[in-house]
Amino acid sequence: MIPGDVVTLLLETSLALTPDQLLELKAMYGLDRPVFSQFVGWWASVLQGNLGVSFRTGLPVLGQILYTLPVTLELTLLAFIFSIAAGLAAGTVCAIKQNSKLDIGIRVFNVLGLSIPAFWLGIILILCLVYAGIYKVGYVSITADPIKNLMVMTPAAIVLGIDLTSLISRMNRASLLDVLRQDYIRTARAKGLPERLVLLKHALKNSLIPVVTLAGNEFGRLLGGAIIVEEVFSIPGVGRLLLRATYDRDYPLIQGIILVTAVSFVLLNLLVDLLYTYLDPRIRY
Amino acid sequence: MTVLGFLRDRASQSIRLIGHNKVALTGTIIIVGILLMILLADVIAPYDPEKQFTRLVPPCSEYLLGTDRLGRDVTSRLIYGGRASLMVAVVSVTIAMAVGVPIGLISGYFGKTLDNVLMRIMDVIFSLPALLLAITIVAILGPGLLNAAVAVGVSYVPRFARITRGPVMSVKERPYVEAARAIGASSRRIVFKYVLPNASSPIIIQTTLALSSAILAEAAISYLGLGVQPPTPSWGSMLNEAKLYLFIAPWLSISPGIAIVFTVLGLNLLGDGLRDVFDPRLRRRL
Repeated sequence: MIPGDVVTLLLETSLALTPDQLLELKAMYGLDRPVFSQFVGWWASVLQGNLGVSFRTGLPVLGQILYTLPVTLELTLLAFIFSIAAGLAAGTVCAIKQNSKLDIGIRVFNVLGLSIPAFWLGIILILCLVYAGIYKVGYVSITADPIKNLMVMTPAAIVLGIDLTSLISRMNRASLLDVLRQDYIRTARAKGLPERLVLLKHALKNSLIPVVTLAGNEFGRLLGGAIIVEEVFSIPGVGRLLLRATYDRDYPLIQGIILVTAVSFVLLNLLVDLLYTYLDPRIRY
Repeated sequence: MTVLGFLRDRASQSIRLIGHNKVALTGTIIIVGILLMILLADVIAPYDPEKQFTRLVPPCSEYLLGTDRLGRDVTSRLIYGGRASLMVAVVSVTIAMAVGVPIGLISGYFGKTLDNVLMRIMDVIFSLPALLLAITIVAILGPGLLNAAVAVGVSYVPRFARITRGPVMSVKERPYVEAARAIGASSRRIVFKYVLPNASSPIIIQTTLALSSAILAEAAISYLGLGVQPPTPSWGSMLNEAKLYLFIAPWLSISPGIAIVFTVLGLNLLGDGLRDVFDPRLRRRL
């Protein structure tokens, strides 16, 4: 851990200490022990449900994460819902009207969506919204004022979800085009089913399988992206907590956040695998 | 045919095919343009990127994209900034390839326990979002251009391992590999002479796509102040410096973003185009 530790950092900012006091302080945080022993000690306490105490604030790590987690969950969930709704709609329109002007327009939009850095889009969006007078910088908790909360969260969620939207729209277009060529679609049409029913009941349900895989795998993209989008929109979520911890070299806090994120990521992938069996009953575990 | 010879043949063949593919051609033109811009930076940049003039001048004929908070010409910084941004991207993708491709080769070719062990290690790295992992690595190594490249590189290793392993597993069952084994070729010879060349298309496609996401990652990390450090310009660090002046000098936040979008767009178009060229089955799909 090269760039200094929290003790030296604290010293730069607060009062001067004698070398003896310095050692004492390091011993208090356990920074004088070998890295390996620190690591084993950390795991031992994690298994007992204790993620340790933040170097910087002295507050329990778990409490700080649990306090900020709902904010990030709200953001990523909003972004996820937006991506799925917009991506599915756009992809379906593309597949039905293949090679029309609308199709080409959406595809150009998709490539752009994958090329724009989310945080930059956020900066530009804030700039536009503030000039238009419909955005006020500053986060309000959803329990305090749901409408003000959504005024901040909605643009943030759209920005966060923009690349996933493009991915889903692309994938849905490709897989729906594939499905629409299958024999059972011709059969459904031949027996006189209305087109709407053919599309919704026969085509979309089958074309959704690769889309679900993609959406599940890319949910991590949202968790990663949330770090930077939260920073741009000043939303006090886990991402911002991680950034503060990184700047402060608050190792217990960093470790705790990484652990919680990785675990939620793995659980999410499990959920996606379970969702398959519903969409495609041929798959069994 | 060796890997290099194969790549040479493949390259001339690809160039011909890319010429016929509008998407790939557009991407190539954008990328070549940007490469020329940063290679000829000394010639085309109007000023020294660190020379100071009047502060916060909006875009005008003298300073095409304005000047920043220290009075440096944004146009020149943008041109030189491309160097740092692309360097981080190239170094990180090189690291990811140098580690990931051999892992994929070994895993796919030898299979069994080794495959299981290597792929589970990849799964562990994959179980963290790439940006989160990169930020964590930078947090450990300390901020800086090279550390950012290492961080992004490490987080992209599993991508290359996975993309290599799949085709290797199918190619190794082909009759010509069996034939090579029958005449007594060593594993090393088979892997490098027959398996790798025939499994290379997805790796080439993945390289362009990884480059584009590495540029986005560098921008994000530098924007957070953890990547390229001042006074060296990079597109991400320029956006970081512009942060506090968003409403006073919005032009500082706009031009680096557009440079990033263009470069990433070029690489994405090239990657999509290459996929069409190498894998005609997918042509109509995307």
